[in-house]
Amino acid sequence: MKYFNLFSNIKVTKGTVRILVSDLQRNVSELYPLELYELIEELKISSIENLLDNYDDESKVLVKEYLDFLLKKEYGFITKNDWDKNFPPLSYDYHDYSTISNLYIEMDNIDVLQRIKTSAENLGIKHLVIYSKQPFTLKEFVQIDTIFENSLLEGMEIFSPFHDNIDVVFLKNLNKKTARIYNLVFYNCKTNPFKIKDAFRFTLKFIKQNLKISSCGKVNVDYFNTNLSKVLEAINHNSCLYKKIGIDIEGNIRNCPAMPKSFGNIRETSLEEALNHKDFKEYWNLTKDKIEVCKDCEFRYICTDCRAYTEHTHTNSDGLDISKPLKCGYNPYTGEWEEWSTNPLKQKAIKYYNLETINTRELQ
Amino acid sequence: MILIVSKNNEITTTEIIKWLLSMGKRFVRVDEDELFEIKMLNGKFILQSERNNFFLDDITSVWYRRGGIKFKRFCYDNEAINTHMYEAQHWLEEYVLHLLESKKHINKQTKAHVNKLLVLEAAKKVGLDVPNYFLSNTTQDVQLGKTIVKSITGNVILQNLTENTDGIMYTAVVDKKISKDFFISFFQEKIEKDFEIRTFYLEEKMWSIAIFSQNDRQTQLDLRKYNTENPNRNVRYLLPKSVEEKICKLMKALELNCGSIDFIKNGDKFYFLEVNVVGQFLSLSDTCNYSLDKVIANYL
Amino acid sequence: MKKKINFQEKNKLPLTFDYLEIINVKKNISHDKNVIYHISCNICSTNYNVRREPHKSLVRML
Repeated sequence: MKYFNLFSNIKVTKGTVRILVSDLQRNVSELYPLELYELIEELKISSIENLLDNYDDESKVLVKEYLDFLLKKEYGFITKNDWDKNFPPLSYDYHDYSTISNLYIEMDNIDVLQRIKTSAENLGIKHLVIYSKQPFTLKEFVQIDTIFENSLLEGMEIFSPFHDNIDVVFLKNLNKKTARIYNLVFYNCKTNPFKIKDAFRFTLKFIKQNLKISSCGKVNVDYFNTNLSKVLEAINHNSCLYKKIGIDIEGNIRNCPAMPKSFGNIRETSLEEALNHKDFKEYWNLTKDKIEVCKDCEFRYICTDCRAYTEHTHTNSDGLDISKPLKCGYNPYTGEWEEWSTNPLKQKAIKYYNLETINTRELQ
Repeated sequence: MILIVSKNNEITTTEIIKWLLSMGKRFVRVDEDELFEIKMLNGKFILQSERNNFFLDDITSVWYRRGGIKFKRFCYDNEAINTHMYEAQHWLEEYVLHLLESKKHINKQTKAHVNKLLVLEAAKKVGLDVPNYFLSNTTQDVQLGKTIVKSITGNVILQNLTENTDGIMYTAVVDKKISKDFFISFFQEKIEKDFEIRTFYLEEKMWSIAIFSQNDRQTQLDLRKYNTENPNRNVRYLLPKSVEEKICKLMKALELNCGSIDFIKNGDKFYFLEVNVVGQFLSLSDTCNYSLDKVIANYL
Repeated sequence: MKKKINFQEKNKLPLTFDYLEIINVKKNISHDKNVIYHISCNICSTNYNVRREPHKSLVRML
């Protein structure tokens, strides 16, 4: 008798109308019908021969096809006489040495970075996202890059307005003189971006729109990530706010610059002090499994949540907003994607966040 | 304070240091090119290099990850004096290394490299299954297609073999007989694989990973020919108690308390291949969520 | 059949050299997606900390 053993790093997430099979080693997720979920569960309790006996001839062919597919993708392997009991399950614990893993800062002056430099070092911050309202000179970019030399910072991405001095020479200099920047986005770029043949140390984008902090929070396939570390974080914690800290344009310390609660201002309060505020971590453990609609969605561990912009429909007994993200157009009950900004059911929330004007500008 | 003996470019060391920092544990990272002077202050030994200095008494644990502590040897003008002082310095250095090795440690400087041939003998002695092997300078006893030839060195990379190339000595199946004789080489019976197993060992605790290298032609014979586009399946595995007990015996016999041990599983048998004292284990640890970097940081 | 390289050594080499694989060391690496960028990290006493992108999209602005 032959037995099918599913590899422990294959995760099956059951949605309402279909399932997502995530290969947590090769970092790929794919959608399949619910019947595959049933089959995988049955294969855990019956031998392949016994399982096939339960199906009629037509279904037998389908089951065999599924089995071949599972083996071809290396989602499992076959053993004789019994399952191989020496394969323990994967632990779903998430470990992170940082106290705060990422900082998202909205700024118009780079002095603010000097002010938080020591805190960033102490908290073990690994990634920095800068949204700047002012354009940066080459000198300023280099300055930003070197401020964090003493820290555990592993990378940074910078959103800043496009300006006329940005040309191939500027970018080549940036490429030579900076080390930590992995992504650069120049927004408000009205002219056509010039052709760039060189490959840089960072990815580069030129965006026409005038981006704002309120542009954030989108949930769509482009922002899905399948990898073990990210999925483990999403299973155990809130996939956006866990170990995140934000500073808005006025210096207020929040969970993210777009969240409503402030925990002090960096002029008088350090990041560590804000972190110790009793409510700072209130959303950190709000997983997708506790959020309305999301808990029935097959994408819930590979997407990234947003608590700043939600449909504003449900609050839990602790006063936490457990509504579905506003900017997610997916309906797990039908399996279909829709444009969120024009959905009539979301207009009330859109008004609540004053997003109407931002919307139309972005859709142009 | 933890003493870490490593190389500047060693990524694994840096990852463990990140955990040490979050745990508030103090450490000194010693590089391969650092030269230390042995000094004394108020009767206590102090080691001093250009980058670091520390009291031996302050060191609570030592991790020999790569390389070793190198000492500055003073030379003297008078030849007789120089010979005398050469010996005196040698004994003092050995004594200092001994003092360090008597502290809590992960491996020892003096045991950092193992002789693969001696390891195989030790493995047989503790009762592990070892594929038949022999040394020879001819292909006389080689069974074509069934015998592999393997390097007995720890490092299989020949860097800068020529100006633009490196050479890599992967395990290979002998596919033809040679009439001439050659430098004594290591031959071993080729074992058919169900899959391979790599076990990370630290002070009698073990974490095993099954590596399904056999289905990919590229990695079938030597899993180090990593297929980066479609990596071999790596999943958690649990070795039988009897094999784990023998591994403990082997590591104790080799005076090692940390290393990676490689096996080939064939049916009910687990064939021992080798022990790697400085092997890379973090990427396997990450795919299986073993957090070995945290484990090591906790231990130190 | 692997190309047998004549190493022109006067002393004998082990049989492993008949099966040696030669890798061309890449000169232009900027288009290789497997490139690792190193950054300095003083607190870890190394110049070889690995630059890494986060495991998820930290912001979703576009």
